[in-house]
Amino acid sequence: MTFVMLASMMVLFMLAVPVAISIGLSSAIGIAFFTHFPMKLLAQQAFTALDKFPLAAIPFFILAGNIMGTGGISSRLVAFAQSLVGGMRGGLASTCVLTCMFFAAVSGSSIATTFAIGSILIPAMVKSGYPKPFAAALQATSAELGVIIPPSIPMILYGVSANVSIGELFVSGIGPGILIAFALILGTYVWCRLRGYGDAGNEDRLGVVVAFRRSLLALMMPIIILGGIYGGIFTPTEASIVAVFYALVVSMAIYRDIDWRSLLRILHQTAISSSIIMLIIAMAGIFSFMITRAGVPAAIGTWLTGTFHSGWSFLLAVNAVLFIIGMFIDAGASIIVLAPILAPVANQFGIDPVHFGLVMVVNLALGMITPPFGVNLFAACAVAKVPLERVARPLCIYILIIIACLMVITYVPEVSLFFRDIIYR
Amino acid sequence: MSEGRLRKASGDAAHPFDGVRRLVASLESVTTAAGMVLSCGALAASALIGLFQIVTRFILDRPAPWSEPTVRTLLIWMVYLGLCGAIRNGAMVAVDVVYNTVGPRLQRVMRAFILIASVGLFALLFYFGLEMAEFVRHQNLAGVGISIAWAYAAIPVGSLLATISLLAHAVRPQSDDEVEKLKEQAL
Repeated sequence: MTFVMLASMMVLFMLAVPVAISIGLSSAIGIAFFTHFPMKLLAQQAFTALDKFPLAAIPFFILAGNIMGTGGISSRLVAFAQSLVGGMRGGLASTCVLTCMFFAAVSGSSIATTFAIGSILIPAMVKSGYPKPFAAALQATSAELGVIIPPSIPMILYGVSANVSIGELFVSGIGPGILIAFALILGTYVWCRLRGYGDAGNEDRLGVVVAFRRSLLALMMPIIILGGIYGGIFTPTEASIVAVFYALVVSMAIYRDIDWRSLLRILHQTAISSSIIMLIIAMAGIFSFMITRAGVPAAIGTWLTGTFHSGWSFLLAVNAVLFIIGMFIDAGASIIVLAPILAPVANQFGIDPVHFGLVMVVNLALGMITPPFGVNLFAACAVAKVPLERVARPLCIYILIIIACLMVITYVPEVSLFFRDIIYR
Repeated sequence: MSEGRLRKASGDAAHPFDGVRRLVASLESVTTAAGMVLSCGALAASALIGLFQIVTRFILDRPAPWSEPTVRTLLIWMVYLGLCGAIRNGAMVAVDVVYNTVGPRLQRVMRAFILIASVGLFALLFYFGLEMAEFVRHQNLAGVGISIAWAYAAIPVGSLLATISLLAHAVRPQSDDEVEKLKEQAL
């Protein structure tokens, strides 16, 4: 059964059938031909897979991110980042990385980060002499931080499907996020030195203090969200609701960048984005239910523990497989199907489930910038108006940097667990 | 005169299915608009109720028992009602590597297949969603006191709107604005 389900899903993917529909149909095939379950199961699972309060955080974080991206908050964050690192060589490029890092702390999505920051910084970078493909590749890669630095939608999905605390996952994203941001800035600095990019165009930066004051309300947001979760004041879902209203008050009442009309447009866009990802979650939930009933996770688990004798080789194999899967399949769907299979095995090898979650999220985030199915890459190319082929070269360098970071995150658990252990232990 | 002939040649003026097309298109514009208004309404309402839950928890020290299940139910409605808008904008996430490499004729075949596959899944969800709603109608949503069938009904209603949207998208595709599409894909 599993083979038929997987094969039909692959065929449907190849035929460009939408991801959610492919997963749903292959599950329906599984129900119809290989089990005695009534087809009602399809509808029942389509409901129960979504009927979970932690998942409610997803539309709310998307909404908060969209409000932040539309209002002047993103441009204020750009100005602040520029005041910090704009002065060095490749300053504008480093500003891009740093702004993405700040914005990631208010948004749970990479694509939202690409549009919010890229639409400001890609034109600015091109204007000060960076080649377009370089700007697009850098923006696509930096926006990955959107799902690594909390809040993060893939982490919520991992937490729900592997039964791990979402709060612990969030705090463990901070270390890897800082590591990746630092590596990207360093790589960009070296690359700009070699190529002679970015030695001009920093004249009109704000002073650090002024820029900090102007963006203070935006910078407060992650403190409220994370502080609320770790102070035990909010659950992650409640924090997402607080984020929505905080963003609304700041954008509508204080900065006055958003009026009621644009709020309606934001709601519309959020409803559509959330529907798309939540349908994928619902259908992946059915798929996961089916293969669990067929005993696949246990079989894979036994096979994995028999084949690999150390956590070291297991992690290497998992990383290689996830990298390939991430190239083709949506990160959310991969996490829902694979986390319940892999996390228990990782646990048997003595790998902390939170650390393992970070490895999965960082690895699958890489899938967002690797062709052929790199949503983030498409988004950055669309903003930069540059064809995908031309981005390949600068992109390779950034992919290598992220792979290096992934290896560090995989084999040095402390990068992820340091902050978690301070707060939770 | 050349203009008239051109139009005829391209089959725009007097297509045999023109009446059907127009009917589907106008029906769809109403259903999708209604679906999206309700979807956005559900999103806004669930955010407000969520805020209410937080406030009551702080002030009364315990949240109202109905708020959490109501937020969950409203968000399920938001998801299934929002699908028609996602389809209308062509924003569903798909792996289109193969699609982009084949010629226009094969693309048409693939589009037809995608339509059949999508309508097939939504037909299943519609029919069995109704059956499921019927099946659970005597159970109540915990803490709310209304039948859980009202929550399950989101699946058949949303699937119906999604199917109408799919058909309309097939007969009169909306402009393919890649940027707008991408903006709507989360993650």
